[in-house]
Amino acid sequence: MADDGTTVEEFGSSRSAGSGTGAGDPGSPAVAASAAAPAPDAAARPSTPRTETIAAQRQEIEQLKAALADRDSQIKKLRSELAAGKGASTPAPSEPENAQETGSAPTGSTKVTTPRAKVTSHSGMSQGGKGVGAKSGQLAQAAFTDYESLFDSAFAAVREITTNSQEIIKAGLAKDEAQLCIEMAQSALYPLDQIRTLFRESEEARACRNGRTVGMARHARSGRSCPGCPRQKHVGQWRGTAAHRPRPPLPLWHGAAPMLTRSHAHTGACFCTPGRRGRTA
Amino acid sequence: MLTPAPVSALQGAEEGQHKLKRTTVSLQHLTNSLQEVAGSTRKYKDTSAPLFGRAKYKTDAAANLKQQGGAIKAYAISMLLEHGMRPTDFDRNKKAAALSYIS
Repeated sequence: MADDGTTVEEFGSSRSAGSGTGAGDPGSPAVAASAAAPAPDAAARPSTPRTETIAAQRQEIEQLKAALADRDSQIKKLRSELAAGKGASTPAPSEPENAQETGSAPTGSTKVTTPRAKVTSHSGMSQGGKGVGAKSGQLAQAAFTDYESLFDSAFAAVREITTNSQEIIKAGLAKDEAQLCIEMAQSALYPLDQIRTLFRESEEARACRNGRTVGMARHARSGRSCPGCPRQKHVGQWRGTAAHRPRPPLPLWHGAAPMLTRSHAHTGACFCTPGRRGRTA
Repeated sequence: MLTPAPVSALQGAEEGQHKLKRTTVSLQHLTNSLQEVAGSTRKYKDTSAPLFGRAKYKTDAAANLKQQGGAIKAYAISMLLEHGMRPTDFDRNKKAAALSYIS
């Protein structure tokens, strides 16, 4: 870029040297137009179209030179900022990692531990919402934690399919296929509801096992059977009956307490005390 | 009111070690498929058939809706299978329950 400027300088000086025949008139309009031009004697001649063109070209050259100088300065500035940014960003990711994992880790171990810090930060679910940013396993884990929104989206989509397909049928466009879409979407409601029930009961069971006192109090108040404590089915449903008589057939039992078909090792965490086992009506 | 879940589906809920590892990939697929069908039906509802090429438009719409309806069924069955339920739970006879659920 500096070479271009030099070339322009040489071009201007050669032009001025070649055309310098007498004393210049500094008050001529051509000189006023090219104030920074180094050849004032170029305007000594009567202003012809050629001299005007030359003057305009010189002015343009000066403007281009100024623009080049500005760009050079900007490029230098950006390069310096980039160099400074590289220098500053290299230890930047290591700061939270060092704060989390090794509080007094030397700076020399920064490059070694940075990927591990990234992995730990992504695998943690504390980022909230869609912050999980990696592979399918992590996406699946995020979907597991946020399955309620998936169910809500699915049910909303079914509703929308139903209304839109009814409109399509009214409009007479693909009646059979729109009816098929309605039936398929509505048939998908039952599996969706079942899976949601399954997930919710799993979550309740886990929550109850994690905090048994809260779970017990809640289930005791509601009178429902505790999914985390299967023997608690006797509390509300079979109190006062012979608990160990043969169970009723599955459909009857099934409606009362769907998931309590297995015997379990009594942990003492539920209300089903052993004294209640032999109680008869 | 929906009938309770089959036992085979709910037995896995008692086992704590499986709950944490359960994924919802098939649920994601089914949800995406439902949303896609919803988008298609919205498009066909909002746009009227063109004056020229109406028959082709109808044929394309019918083929698209039929394909997407089949996709819903396939994804729902795969979700049922993934979670240990019977494929026959995806039944058109559940339509009454579905209607009661929607309304």
